[in-house]
Amino acid sequence: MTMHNRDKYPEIWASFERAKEELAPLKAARKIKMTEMNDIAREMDVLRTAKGKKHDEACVDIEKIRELSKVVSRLAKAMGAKSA
Amino acid sequence: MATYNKINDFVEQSWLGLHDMNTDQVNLYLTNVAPVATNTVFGTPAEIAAGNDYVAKGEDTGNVMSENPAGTAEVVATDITWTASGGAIAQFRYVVAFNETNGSDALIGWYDHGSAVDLADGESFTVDFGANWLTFV
Repeated sequence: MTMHNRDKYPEIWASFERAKEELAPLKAARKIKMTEMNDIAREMDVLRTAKGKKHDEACVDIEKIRELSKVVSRLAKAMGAKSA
Repeated sequence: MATYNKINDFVEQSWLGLHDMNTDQVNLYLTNVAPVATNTVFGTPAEIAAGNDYVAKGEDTGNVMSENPAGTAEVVATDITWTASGGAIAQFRYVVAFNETNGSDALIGWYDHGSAVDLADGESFTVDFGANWLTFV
């Protein structure tokens, strides 16, 4: 029969147990705050989705805007415009 | 196109979720003060005075990000042309990119034209992004 670690390493086991006891309330306190944080993140997701939809609407003519901006840029250069 | 110079903070802020290079509005503004990599937010360096068709906080780049090719991301942007109208645009040398959407107006990077630019009434300055602006690998 395999000997339990508690019996095999009694001093280490005691330290192990003490560390776990000290760790547990810290993790529990963190979990409360992390849960609250995740609730906020879920609210942000709703706003992020709304932002994405608005971005899609703003991009309806982006290809045409890009094309015409390129034309404007090219014509400006033909008239001697400086360029970055 | 002039060499792109990175703002150091852009890397950290990107990983902290401050920049969404697809749905945030990235603007370019003009300044006559040399940026440095340790600058962080719009206003330092100070932009030139608005007027004669230079609008405060510059122009929208129309940035859109996509995965292209697979495993990398590229930002495509729209060329910007400033044309002085009704008078000269204040002298500038540098073009600075920043995130207009996030609250802090975090800086992204800048270009150095190499010499001061004076645009008299009717003269233009363009920023040509080419096929794509930024690539993240």
